[in-house]
Amino acid sequence: MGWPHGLTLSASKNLRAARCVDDSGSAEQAQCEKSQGIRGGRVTESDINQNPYQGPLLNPESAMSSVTKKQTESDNFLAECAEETKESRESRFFHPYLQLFISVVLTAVSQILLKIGVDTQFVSPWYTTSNLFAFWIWFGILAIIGSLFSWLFALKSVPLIIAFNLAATNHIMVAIGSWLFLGETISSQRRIGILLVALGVFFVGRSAARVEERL
Amino acid sequence: MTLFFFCLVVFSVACSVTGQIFFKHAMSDQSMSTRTRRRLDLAGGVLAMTVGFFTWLALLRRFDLSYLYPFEGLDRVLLAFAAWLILKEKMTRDLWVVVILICIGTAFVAAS
Repeated sequence: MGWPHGLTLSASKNLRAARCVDDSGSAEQAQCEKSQGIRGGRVTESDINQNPYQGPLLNPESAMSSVTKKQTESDNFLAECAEETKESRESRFFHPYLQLFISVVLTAVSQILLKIGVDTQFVSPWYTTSNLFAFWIWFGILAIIGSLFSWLFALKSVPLIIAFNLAATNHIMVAIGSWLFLGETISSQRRIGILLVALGVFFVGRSAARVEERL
Repeated sequence: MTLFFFCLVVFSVACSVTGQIFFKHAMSDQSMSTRTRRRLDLAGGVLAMTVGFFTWLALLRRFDLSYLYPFEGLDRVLLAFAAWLILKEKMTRDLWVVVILICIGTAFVAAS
């Protein structure tokens, strides 16, 4: 994993040093010596300071240690990458617009669950003890709470105006949901009415957001 | 829908809006002055929301969801009127158009 990168680096350094030794031109040799830190078989203190591996490059032990060091660095880098990927996945889930969408869907779901609950499990009068065990209603309440949290989370980043505008899609989603899951028939007149309300809610977003901020 | 049920729908929506305003007051920094006031706001919010929720449940038992839900759009109309009455905000022409649009929409749904 981290190995090839570290090995390639040190091997290329050693190869460069070998090429320098083979060169016959003095100017080039001087240049090579300067670049590799070799002067008369000795390594000066300044050369060591300039060398990022803190030692002569032709020494196999230091080459190995540099490989090990590089490997550790690479492993750390990979671990950081893995963490970043995990964080980016999480941040994708906590993306404000996704949270806004989740909030809208959960609102529609909550309404459908409440409707199923009151139709199948709710008994009148409302204070009957068995109503406490109407689990569809409890699920509906949980969905409302979830939607509220998503909404609040989304509002940390999304402007209230946009959030209010997008909330208009609630009306469409609830209509589709009640047609799909509750089997309600939606007449064309009702469809027009729902569309008009959704349009109205969409356009009132700016004013409603301003009022909400002031109230 | 009879007038009684229409009033009940408006009452439920009004309770929800009132609850939201109470919660907002309780959570905002300006109302941190007295703890008692904050608690009262929270209690008022919970009470209004609960009453609104149970009224909504009662209405859901009687009407279709696709019929009842568009009336939720009236909360924006109530909010606009609340701003006009309490905050003395101007009702602009655009706002009037939107309010009328929502009212016509709910009337369409009510008649369906």
